[in-house]
Amino acid sequence: MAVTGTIQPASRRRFDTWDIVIYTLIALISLVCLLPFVHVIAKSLSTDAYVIANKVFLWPKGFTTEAYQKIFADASILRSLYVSVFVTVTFTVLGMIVTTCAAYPLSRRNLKGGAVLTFIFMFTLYFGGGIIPEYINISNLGLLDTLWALILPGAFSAYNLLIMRTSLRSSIPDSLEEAARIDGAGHFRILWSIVLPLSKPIIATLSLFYAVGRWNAYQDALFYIKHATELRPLQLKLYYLVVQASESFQLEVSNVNLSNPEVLKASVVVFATVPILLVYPFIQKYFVQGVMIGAVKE
Amino acid sequence: MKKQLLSLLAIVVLVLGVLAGCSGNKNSQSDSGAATGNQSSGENVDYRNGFPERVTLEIPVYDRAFEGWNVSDNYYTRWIQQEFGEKYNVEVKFTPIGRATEVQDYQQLLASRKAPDIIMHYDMPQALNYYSSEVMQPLNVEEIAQYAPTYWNKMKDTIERYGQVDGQQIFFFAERPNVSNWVTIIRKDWVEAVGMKVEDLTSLEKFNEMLVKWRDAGLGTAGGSLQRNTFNYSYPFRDWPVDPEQHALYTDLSVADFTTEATEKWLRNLNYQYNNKLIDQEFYLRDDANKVKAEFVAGRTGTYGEYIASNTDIFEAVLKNNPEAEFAVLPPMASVPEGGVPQGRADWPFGMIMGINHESSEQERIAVWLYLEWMSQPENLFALQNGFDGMNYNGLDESGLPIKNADYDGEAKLSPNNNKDYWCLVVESPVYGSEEETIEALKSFWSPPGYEYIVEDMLKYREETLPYLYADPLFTVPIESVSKYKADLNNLFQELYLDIVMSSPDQFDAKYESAKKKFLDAGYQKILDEKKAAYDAGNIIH
Amino acid sequence: MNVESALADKQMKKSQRRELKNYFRQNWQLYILLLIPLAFALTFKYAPLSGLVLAFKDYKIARGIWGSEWVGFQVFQDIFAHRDFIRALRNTLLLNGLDLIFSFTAPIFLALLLNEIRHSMYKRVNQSLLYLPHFLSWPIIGALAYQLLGLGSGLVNNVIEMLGGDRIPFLQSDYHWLASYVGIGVWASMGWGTIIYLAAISGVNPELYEAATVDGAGRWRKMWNVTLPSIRPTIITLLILNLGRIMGGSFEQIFALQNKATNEFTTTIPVLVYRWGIESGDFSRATAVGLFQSVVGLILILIADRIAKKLGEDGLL
Repeated sequence: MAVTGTIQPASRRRFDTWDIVIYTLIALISLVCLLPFVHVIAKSLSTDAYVIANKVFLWPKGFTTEAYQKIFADASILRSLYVSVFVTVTFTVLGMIVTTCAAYPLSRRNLKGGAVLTFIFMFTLYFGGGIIPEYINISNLGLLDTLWALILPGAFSAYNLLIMRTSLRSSIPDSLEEAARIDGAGHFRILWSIVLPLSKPIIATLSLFYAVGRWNAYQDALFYIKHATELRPLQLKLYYLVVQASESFQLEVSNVNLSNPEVLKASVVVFATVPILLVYPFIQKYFVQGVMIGAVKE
Repeated sequence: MKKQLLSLLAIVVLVLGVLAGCSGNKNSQSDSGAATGNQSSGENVDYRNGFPERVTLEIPVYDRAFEGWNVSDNYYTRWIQQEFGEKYNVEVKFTPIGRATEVQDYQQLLASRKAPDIIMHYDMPQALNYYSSEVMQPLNVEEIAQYAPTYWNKMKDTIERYGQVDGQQIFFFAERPNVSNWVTIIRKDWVEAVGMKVEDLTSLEKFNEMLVKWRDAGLGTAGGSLQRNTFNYSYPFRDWPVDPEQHALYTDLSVADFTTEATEKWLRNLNYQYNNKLIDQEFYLRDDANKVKAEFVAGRTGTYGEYIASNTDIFEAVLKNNPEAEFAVLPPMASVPEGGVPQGRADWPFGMIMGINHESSEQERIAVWLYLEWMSQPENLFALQNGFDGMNYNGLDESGLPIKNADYDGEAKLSPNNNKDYWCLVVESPVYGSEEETIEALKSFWSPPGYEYIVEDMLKYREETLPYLYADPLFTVPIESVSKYKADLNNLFQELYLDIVMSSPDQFDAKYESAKKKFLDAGYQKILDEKKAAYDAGNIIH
Repeated sequence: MNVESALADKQMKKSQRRELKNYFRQNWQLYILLLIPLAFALTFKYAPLSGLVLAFKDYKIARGIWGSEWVGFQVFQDIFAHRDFIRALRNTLLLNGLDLIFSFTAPIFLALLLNEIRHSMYKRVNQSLLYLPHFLSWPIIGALAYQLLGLGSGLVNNVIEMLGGDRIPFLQSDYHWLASYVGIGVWASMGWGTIIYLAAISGVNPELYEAATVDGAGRWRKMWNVTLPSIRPTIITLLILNLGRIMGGSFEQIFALQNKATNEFTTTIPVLVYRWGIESGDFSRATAVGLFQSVVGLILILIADRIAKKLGEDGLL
C-alpha cells in the first residue's frame, strides 16, 4: 500500500473524537504559520504610505500591484532569479552525490576506520576557521566572483551526512547487503541498484534540505560575489533592499535612500519565496512507504 | 576510547599538514606583496602625460544596490575610461564596496590582498583604524602637487592640516562645502490646535509646555528614537563658550560623553519627558530611520528629522494617513534649555577621507593623483554631476544651473543619487560657482515640489546657528582605546541610559551615579586617560 | 616467550594480515566512494582551519595571519574576564537549553500528530502551510513580532484591551520576552522540523502496525510502541548534534527580537561574536570565542555519544 505518508489502513478505523481534536489542532497551528505570510502578501499589494504607518495587517490597503510591476520590469531581479535557480539545482545535485558517497560506506558497521572517518567529517560541523580565513581560502582557490563559490563549499554537509547515515543503517541492514554480496554484487552495484531505490524518502528529504538551505542563504554570496554583480542571487538582492533602508550614520551630505520603499521589500520577499514553495508538492510523492516488505525476513 | 584518540590524532595531523602547507604559501605571498617605497624612482620619470605601460587603477565605489544600476559598469564608468583612462593609458576598474557592509568588505579585500588603491571612509576614527592596521602608505605631498595641481591648490591646506598622523602625511580628502540638509519637521496643525505658534518655541521649556498641551489634547507625543552609534545629543546642553580641554576629552561622535554634566541634563530632560508621556513611550524600539518615520507617518508623533531631498515621500505619506496635516520646520532653539545657545556639530572642511593602499605601486599611486586631477577639472566634474547637455538637461539658466530634463531615461541617466559615489572623491556635494550659487542649486535638489518653504526655513535657521557650530576634536595620533572599547561602551550606554530614563525621577540620582561608575570602569576611563595624554602632549589640531 | 607461542603469534599475525587483505579486496569500492566527500571536506572545511591560530594572535590585517604577533592565551583571558562574558554564558545556556526543551521536541509531537491524519489532501495542504515560517527571514519575523506584540500599538494588545484586559508587554519585559522568544522560536522551526521525522516514519513496516492492532493496541499505544521507536535513531542523532551547538545559537533570532530596554537575556555568546567580530573588527577575539564554542560543543558531543552508546543506541561515532 503506497498511500502518501499514511501508515495505518484507512478502512479499519472510525473517525473518533481524538481525530477531531487532532485535525483541529493541526488546522490551528497551520493557520498561525500561514497568517504572517498573508500579512507579507497584503503589504506587497498595498500603498506605501499605509505600509510605512504599520496600518496593514491581513488585507491590502490601497490595493496596487505597482511593486510587482517594478520587479518584473527590473531585469536584474529577474536575472538574479535565474542565478538562484541554477545555483540551487546544481548545489542540490552535487550535494546529494557527495553526501551519498559518504553516507553509504559509513553506514556499514564493519567499515574499518569508520569511526575515525566519521569523526573527521563531524569535526567540521563544530570547528570553522572564521570569515576571514574562509574568504582567503576561496580567494586562493580562484573562486571569488564565480557561482562555484556558492556551490562547492557547502556541497559537503556533515549534518546531512550523519542524518543519511543513520537512515541507511536502519533501512539497509547488513543482512540485505550480505545477500547482495553472495549474489556477486560489488559495492558500486549495491549502491546503485539497491540502496538508492530504497532510500527515496531520505534522498527526497535531504534534497529538500539542500535546496531550501541554498535558496534562503545569502551570507556567503554577500562576501564572495562583489565585482560580478550580475551573479547576485535573489536572496542577496532582497537583503540589500531590506538593509538599504536602515540608517546610515556616517557623515554624508544628502543621503538618498528612497528607491526601496517598504512595499517593494514585501513584494520581493513574496517573489523570493514562492518558487521554492512550489517545489515541495513535487517532492511529496517520494515520501512513500519504503518498498521493503518481503525483502527482508528478520 | 582508543578510536576517539585515534580520530583526534588524525585530525591533528590533518590540520598540521594544512597549516604547514598554508604557511609555506603565505610566506611566499607576503614577500610578493610589493614593497612600496614612497620615494620617487631614481630617474625621476614624469608620468604627467601618461604611462608607457598600461597601469591598472582600482577605485572603490559605494554600492547601494540601486535597482537596475551596475556600479562597476555603466555609461559613466565607460565615459571615465574613455576620457581619462585612454588619455593616460590607465585601465580604470571600479571595486564595489557595499555601503552597509563597508568596513567588513574592506577588511576582507585587504586580507586577501584585493583591496582597491584607495582606502576610504567618512569617519576619522575608522580612517585612523585603517591607519593603525597598517594598510595605508605614507605620502609625499610634493608628488601630489606635481601630478594634481588643481586638486592640490584647492585642498592643500586641508590635506596638510588634517591629514598627518604620527608625523607622516597619510590622508588626503575630498572637499566639503559648508552645506547641510538635515531638517526637523513638526506638525504645524498640532501646534496651532493647542493655541501656540511655531515661532513661540524658543526654548526647551516652552517646547515641553507645548508637549504637555499636546498630550492633554490627545494629539500625540514628540518623536523619539534610540540613541545609537552617533553621539551628538549633548550639544544643546553644554556650557558656552566651550572649554578646549573638555571638548577634546569628551566630544566624540563614536563614544557617548556619558559622565558629563551636559549628559546629565539631557538625561533629566528625557526622564521628565518620558515619565510625563510627552515623548514616544516606545522610543527605544525606534532603532532605525524607518521606524521613526512610521510613527510620524501614522500620526502618533509630531516631530521627525531627516535629510531632506526633492524625492522624499514623507509629506505625501503623512497626508495620506492624516489629511489635515500641515508642516513647519522646528526652530533650533526648541531643543535648547533656557539661557543656552544652539550649539551643534560642525562638519570638517573635508568629506571623504582617503589613504593609499600600502600595496599600491608607485605608478598606481600616481595614477590616483592623475585621476583626482582629471575629476577636479570643472567640465569633468560638471558632467559627472549633471550629465550632458541635450540629454540629462537642456541648456543652462541665468545662474548657470542646468535646466533639468526630468523625464530623461536614456543611457546617460545618472545614478539615483546623482553619481555621488563617483565624484565624492573630490567633493562632497555639487558646487556651482560661489557659495550662494551652490545653495540656490541645492535648493532645487532638496525641495519637494510645494514644500520649498521648508528648505527656505531650514537654511534660515542654519544661518542663525552658524556661530555656534564647531567641529570634533582631531588628534594627530590614533586613540587606540576608542576602537577597542567603542562597541562594548555603546552597548553599555544603551542599557544604562534607557534604565535611567525609564525609571521614576526619585531614582534618577542614585542610578546615574552608579551608571557613571560602571561606564568609567568598562573602558571609558581608559579612553579619557589616553585622550588627556595626547592632549597634554599637544597631539591635537586646534 | 617460548618457540611454540612465538610460532602461534606469527600464525595469528599472518592470518590477520590475510584477513585484512581479504577485507580490502572485498571493500575497496567503499573507500573510493569516500574519496569524493573527503576531498570536499579537506578543500573547503579543513583548509581554512589554519585560521584558528588567530585566536592566539594579535591580528593586524596588513601583516596577514602569519605575520601577526603571537600572544598565547592573552585573548582568552581578556574574553573570560570581560564584564559581559558571564552573563552571555548564562544566557546562551539558558536560551539554548529552553530551545532544546521546546523547539527540539515540538516537531516530534507535530510529526506524530500529522501521522495520525489519514486524509491525504488535508495532510498535504497543512504540511505546506506549516513550512511557511521557515522561509521568512528573521528581520521580517522581528518586525512582524513587534507589529503584533508591541506594547504601545501592537495588534494583539489592541485586541486584548478591546476585550477589557490589560496590555501585556510580550517583548518588553524580561521574563515575558523570554517566553515570547522561545514561543516564536518554536513557531519558526516546528513545521520544517517535522520533515525529517515524517520521512523516518514513512519507512516503518506496516506489518508492525497490523501486529499491534491484533494485540489490541489503540492509537496512543501504537504511537508509543511502534512509531516512536522507529524514529528513535533519528531523534538521538539530532539530539546529539544539537547538544554540540549548546554554546552557539542564532545571532539573527536575538537581533530580530531584542530591544535595548529589555536586556537581561539578550546578550549571548553569538551576540558577542558579532559585536567583537563584525562591529569592532576584532577578529582575534571573535575567533577565540568561536574556538571556545567549538571545543565545548565537541566535548559535549563526545560525552553524549558515550551515554547514547551505553544506553544501547548507535550514537554518532
